Amino acid sequence: METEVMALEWLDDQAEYPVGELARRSHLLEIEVLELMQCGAIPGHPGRALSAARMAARLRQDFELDLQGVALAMTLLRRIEELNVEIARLKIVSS
Amino acid sequence: MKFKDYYASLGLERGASETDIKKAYRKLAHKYHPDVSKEPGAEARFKEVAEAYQTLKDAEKRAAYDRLGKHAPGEEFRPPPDWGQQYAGREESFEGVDLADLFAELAARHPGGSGRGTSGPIRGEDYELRTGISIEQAFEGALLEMNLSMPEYDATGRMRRVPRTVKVRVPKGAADGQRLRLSAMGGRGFAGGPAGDLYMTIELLPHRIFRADGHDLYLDLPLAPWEAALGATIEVPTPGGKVQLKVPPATATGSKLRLSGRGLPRPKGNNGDFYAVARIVMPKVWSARARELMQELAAATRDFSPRAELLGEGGHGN
Repeated sequence: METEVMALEWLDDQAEYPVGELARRSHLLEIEVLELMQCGAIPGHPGRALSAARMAARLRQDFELDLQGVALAMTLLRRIEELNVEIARLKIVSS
Repeated sequence: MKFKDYYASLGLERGASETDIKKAYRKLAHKYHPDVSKEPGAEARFKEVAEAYQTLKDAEKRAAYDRLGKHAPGEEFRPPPDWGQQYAGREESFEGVDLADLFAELAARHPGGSGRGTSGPIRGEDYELRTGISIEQAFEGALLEMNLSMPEYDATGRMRRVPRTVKVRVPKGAADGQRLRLSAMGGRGFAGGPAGDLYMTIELLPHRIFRADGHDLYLDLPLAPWEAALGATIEVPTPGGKVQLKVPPATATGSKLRLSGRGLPRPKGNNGDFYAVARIVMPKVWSARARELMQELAAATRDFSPRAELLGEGGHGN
């Protein structure tokens, strides 16, 4: 089966999901999504919420973590990502 | 059905203990989990490891797997005649069935298992994939052809991997990490359930001369000392073609020269910016005349102190 797709949708600031939809699409419980949102592991930025929720579900299952462990891992991973961006920026300035 | 050696995937012998299995999995997960690892090919490797662990960590599934016997990885094989009835609940063709899905189904049938029953409509699986495109493709848009192995419900509610080729026209405007959704292009649903969605994450491939930061592009721009000192109009490559760039006099290494709107296009129009980052380079060979001119230059600019800050001069010292 071959399909040429023309209709595709940018997932950016426009894509906003209610908590129930986030939970369903990430296979988390609504209460878990809310808890992760409260501690900032799932950002308020709507375009990033879904990928963060899916990542939380993956980390929990794959590393057999509890929700607090997931939240901590996500906070640290985000920090690493920010530092990598900063390093790349500094490399350009100093080269 | 193709055989997969789950023990080999975890680097274990067949008789490994439950503790060994768990330890091996954890070690490999830390190394290859795509959310954590930066190793090339981590995602594919982790998938293999996770699939092996899902089956081997569960005593019942592991016993069922062991009863399949030992085959060469990738070898086409049929489970023993009574295997289907005993474990999968039916005797039928196993063609096109993925081992992982078969074991997932086994969990679903087990009381207290995490799977759903097969009564009533079920929405198809979402499918996630990452795909790399070049900076040129991000600039111009690209037609990508991808071969997927899509998990889909068949008429009986069993999950099968169906090979599918999807052509996606990625419009210009993507940046690194950009996510796209293709509605209803994921796995087919069951019993009238809607199809899942296909999610695509774009990764920009490293480029020979450009570097992207969001929709902005950076180019390392080598300048001769006299070009940097006197200013010059030079030709620089951008993804949209060569442009003339005016380098102002007294340009220092690290100065960013901005070409507004010459970066990557955004989905809604207005492009990012293009930055040429100046870097002063030296000729390797100097003629006697050139050296003489440099000595004259040194004599003529004796009051310039490039290391004033290091030495605590120039008002920054104590």
